[in-house]
Amino acid sequence: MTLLATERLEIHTLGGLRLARAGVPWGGGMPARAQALLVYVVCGRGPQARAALAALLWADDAIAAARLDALLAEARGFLEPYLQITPGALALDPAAPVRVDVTELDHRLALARALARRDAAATSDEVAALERAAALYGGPFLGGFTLADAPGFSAWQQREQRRLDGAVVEALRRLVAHSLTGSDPFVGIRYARQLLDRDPLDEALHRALILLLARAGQRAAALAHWDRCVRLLAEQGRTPDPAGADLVAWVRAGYAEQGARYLVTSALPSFAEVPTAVEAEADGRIFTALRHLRAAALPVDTAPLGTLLLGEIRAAYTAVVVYADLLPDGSDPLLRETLDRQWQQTLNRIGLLLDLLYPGRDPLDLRRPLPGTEEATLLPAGSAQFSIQHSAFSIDLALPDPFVARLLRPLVAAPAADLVALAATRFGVARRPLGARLADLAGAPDPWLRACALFRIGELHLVELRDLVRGALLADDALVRETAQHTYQALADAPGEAT
Amino acid sequence: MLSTMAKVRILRQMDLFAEVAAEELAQVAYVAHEMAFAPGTRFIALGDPGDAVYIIVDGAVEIVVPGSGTVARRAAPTILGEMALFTGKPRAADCIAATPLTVLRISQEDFRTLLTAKPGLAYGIIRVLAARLDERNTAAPPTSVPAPTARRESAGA
Repeated sequence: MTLLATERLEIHTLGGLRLARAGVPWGGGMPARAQALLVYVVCGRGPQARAALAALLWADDAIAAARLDALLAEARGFLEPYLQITPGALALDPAAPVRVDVTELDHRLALARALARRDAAATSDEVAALERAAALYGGPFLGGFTLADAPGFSAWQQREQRRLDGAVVEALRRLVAHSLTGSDPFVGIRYARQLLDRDPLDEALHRALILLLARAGQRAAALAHWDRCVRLLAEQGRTPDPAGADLVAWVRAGYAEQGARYLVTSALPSFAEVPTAVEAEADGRIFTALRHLRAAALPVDTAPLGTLLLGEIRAAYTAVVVYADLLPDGSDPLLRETLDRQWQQTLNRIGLLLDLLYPGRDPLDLRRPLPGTEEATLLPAGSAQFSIQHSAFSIDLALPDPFVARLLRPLVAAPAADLVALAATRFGVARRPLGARLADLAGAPDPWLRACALFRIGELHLVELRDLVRGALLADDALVRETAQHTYQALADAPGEAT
Repeated sequence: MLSTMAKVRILRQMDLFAEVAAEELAQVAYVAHEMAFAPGTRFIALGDPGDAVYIIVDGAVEIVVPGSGTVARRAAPTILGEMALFTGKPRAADCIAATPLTVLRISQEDFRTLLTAKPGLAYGIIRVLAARLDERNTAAPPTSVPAPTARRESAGA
């Protein structure tokens, strides 16, 4: 059969396998194994070796290669316009017009993840990407399609089903969470119902749906849903979380919004994380208060602020110790850049505090790295002037506050190793082996730093940290989870290590 | 299959992203799709719309202008067609995998969506482009007006 290669082939895999060209069903007469082969190659990320394809479609068959040759001969008319078939491999022809729904779904989900903001609700762009992904998902990957005597293909099919189903569930949860914070409850109601169809015992979702129904003015429907939820749980021998009864009491009384506190929205996973919002808020309150006091020309007792400044400087020196400690492993640019950023943020806070305490001065002068300066050294530059020289930065500090100067004086003219040792003595930070230091970073509050550390652990094959990595497989942050998965596999594949 | 962190590490090596914080690059990594091509595969054709950029992760590519033959060869790590992210102009040559090739593909549409939503990403790229423009302006040839002494000498000749 000769095909017009210019006609676009549409491969629908979600909710079943359906092939079409220009909207017209296509592939009638094509063997099921050839259809499976086509889907597998198209969904793959590059050329697929013939031997691997043969094993996938005919497990443990000594003549699998010959069977594959026969299949390709039989189905050549169907496959040739869309695949590059060589003696060694099969691949999707990059010039062939092929559209696969699962590829588009993955694309939408990836875009939504890229648009997600860690410290804020979903943007309209992210919501649009998530909704398109949700609309694309018509059911399980290759649902209802089975291939006899092909355990390799079946295993791949099930893995993809689990992966896509999990990704779509995460997307639906994100949409429900967005609906709870937004003004349109009707969208959230639809997605919450879809999620409850999959997991009818998820109480947090039941509460979310009840609140959304109440906000949509469907109070009776909200209360009826609660009754259904109670019956469902009772059938499983469970009693509902008291938060549900509290929420319903508010809804019944006509005050749904007061009941929102019982929603426990943290139970709904999302792409966003809030690792630094609380810290930033605390800083903001301190600085705002100081500005108001100064603007009002009220006397400011600097003693407690001096203590705060001391804490900041302690944190800064701790960061220096951590940074200097990790410099032997400074070959990793992502870790170096992340620690630099945190160091800069700490210094910025110190600078802001000093500016508020001593207005009109310019106590911090952050310059670019000085060439040839490899060690962190604290040098005197006057009675209360200090300069910290380091390979990555240099800082001039002018600190007229005598008690801060007293803190720094013992560190004058100390070379890097002594500086680290002094900081360790004074602040209790001890040098430890690289693996232990990376393990610390892998437990940091900052998800990005955690992911960087996990990535490095995988690169260095630190198999002794495998249990720590296993724990990160269940992290809340999606990037940390994914990095942990890759690292865990890398450690399992390390030479001499059994899985 | 590359992890997101591995993709960030690769993106970090590209000049275009040199001024973008690594954490911002994670957003780009999510939409950078890994693809593999066998040797001899033409994955970009002359005249195709410039709707994506390709970052060579592993392998090498031959740049071929039909009628002129191979005009260049590029190997990892390098970026192909980065201006396509901004201009969308048609491709000026074929790109053919010279070896087993692994690339990251970023579509123009996705990239523009990210730039709109992520000002930090946009600012980092603007800084790189501004630096390139500055370099080009700084390296411009001097004016052709001769020095006064030279003009007097030529007038007297």
